[in-house]
Amino acid sequence: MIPPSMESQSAPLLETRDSARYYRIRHGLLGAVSTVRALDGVSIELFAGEVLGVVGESGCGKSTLGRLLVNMEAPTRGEVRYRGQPITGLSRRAWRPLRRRIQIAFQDSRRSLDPRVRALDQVREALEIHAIGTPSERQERAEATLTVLGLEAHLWRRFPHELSGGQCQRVVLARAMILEPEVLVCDEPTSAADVSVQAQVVNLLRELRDRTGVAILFVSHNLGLVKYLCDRVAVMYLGEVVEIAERDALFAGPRHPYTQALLSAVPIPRPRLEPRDVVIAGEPPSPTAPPSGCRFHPRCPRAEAVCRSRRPLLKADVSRRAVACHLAQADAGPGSL
Amino acid sequence: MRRLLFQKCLRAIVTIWLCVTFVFVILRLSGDPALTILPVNLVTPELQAQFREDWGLDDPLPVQYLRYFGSIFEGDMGFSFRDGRRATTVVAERLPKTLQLLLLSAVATLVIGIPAGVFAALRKNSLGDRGIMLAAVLGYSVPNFFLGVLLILVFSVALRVLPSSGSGAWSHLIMPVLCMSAAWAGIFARFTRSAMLDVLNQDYVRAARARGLLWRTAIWRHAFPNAAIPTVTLTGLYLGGLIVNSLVVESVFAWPGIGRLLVDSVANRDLAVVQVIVLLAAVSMVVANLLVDLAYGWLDPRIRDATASADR
Repeated sequence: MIPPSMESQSAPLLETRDSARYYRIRHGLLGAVSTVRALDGVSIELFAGEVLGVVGESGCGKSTLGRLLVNMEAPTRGEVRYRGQPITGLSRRAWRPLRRRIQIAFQDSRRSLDPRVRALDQVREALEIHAIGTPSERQERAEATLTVLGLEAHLWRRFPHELSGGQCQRVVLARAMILEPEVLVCDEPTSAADVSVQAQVVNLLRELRDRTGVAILFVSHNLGLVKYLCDRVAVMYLGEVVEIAERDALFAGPRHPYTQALLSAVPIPRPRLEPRDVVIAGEPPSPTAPPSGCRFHPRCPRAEAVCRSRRPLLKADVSRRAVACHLAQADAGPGSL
Repeated sequence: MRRLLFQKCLRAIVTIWLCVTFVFVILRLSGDPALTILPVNLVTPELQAQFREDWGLDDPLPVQYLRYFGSIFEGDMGFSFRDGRRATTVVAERLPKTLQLLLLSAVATLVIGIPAGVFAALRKNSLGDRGIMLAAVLGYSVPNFFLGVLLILVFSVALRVLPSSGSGAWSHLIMPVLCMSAAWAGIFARFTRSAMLDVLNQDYVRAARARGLLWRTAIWRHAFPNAAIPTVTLTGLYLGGLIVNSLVVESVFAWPGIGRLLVDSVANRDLAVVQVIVLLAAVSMVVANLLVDLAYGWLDPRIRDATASADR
């Protein structure tokens, strides 16, 4: 495993600063137009070889962030940089070679496979798209990649509907990994899978990272998997990143009240051992009309006057641990910037 | 696969048999040819009796049915009551004219309807999409006999640019083909559009884009073949029903094809001719559906497997 602290000195592979993505929706045929702030002022850095988890409730913008980072969607404000070079708004020609380097795997693996195409052909097509190698080389590499991903040879000629969920996931990952990407965004790769498949996928991702050094952005709402797999974790709430920290630090001592609540919501096998301290009530507010000040204040058990009026900024301390909360920043003292 | 084919063929034969039997019974219960075929001024009870005996119409229905059925297998479809020629000859004579009309309108329908639907789906909610959908709704909402009369009024009566009836020149074909294609082109456009939209929203098309596939290639390789699967069903229904579709249009434009022959023959109780045409219509429907089933298996591996495993 590559220690994340070693990577922290180098420049990020993929980053975005203060990006926003708004969607305009119209209610009814002639109704009012409202703006959904799916992402609002998000900064995130992904370093080579690390696994960064992005967690949060549904609708917090974590999938939007994933799509933004792989340039499937353009930010309304801000830009995404790959090795310091902006990839937002690149011409098709300039973008295509970079596309190989930044791959994405979607939520439901079976649905992201064309039902009419056999497993091996799905994987080989990725090479055809980028005109890599001769036909026989492509065939060999597709077979080799599927072998690495643990799909047995007798399954190669099968159609997606003849494969299990875990096998489909292997095909999807093979299809992404055959291009030798530096970044792999996994958009909730486990949400459509049962527990044993989830475990397979997470182990597979870890193995891939160790073997190829690919950086993984792991978007999930499963904290258990994130804790197991990720080096660093970003917590999102209502279109913002509220806390980023290294995995152990975050799980040992969450600073943002939302993170604290999120962590204490994880089911504990023996509940009597640990009292659940932080419980939050209610639903997240609508992203069309986010609350003033800190977006979490209506649900925050510790909210004070300042939280209602001023929006907290994500501030990092020396160990690159960042939290967007007035109170947590005050707790940490003046030393935290 | 062979077993599947066998099953389908067996089912097709049963369908045709039911259809022929049904028409045989209905026709004979619905009126006496002796009363309609013979000239009114010459008709006498003796002549009618003679006519019935000549054509075997005085036998009990089961006997007539068995005789009819036996002769079908000998390739004998009976004779036209009106001119005594073989019914098959009478129909065959008219067949080329109808085929000309059907073929042209099938090509027009598919070549206009499917690309229009694909285009509308790719440019969803654009002005072009809305225009196409408006035209499609108009196309299939207007009954074809009304459209026919309207076309005649405009292009033959008012503008005097196209002949209102008959056949022979290319100009005779324009209005009947238009009239036959309008409704189905509209149906195909709408159907293809929704099938395409459905597929375009699938993850595998988005995933193909995310791997760097050009939009155009993604559509041709992944979206269109999958959208074609439901469209094939519609094509089968459409092609099977084409002959029936031609009845009205041939009557409106006095097109000397099978459709008009059928209308005349039913009116005259020319039983043998009607039966030949019905058999033809049934066979074309059944064959079209058989082809669709086969095309399905070829297009969609899921169906191929489902039927194969059902066979085992």
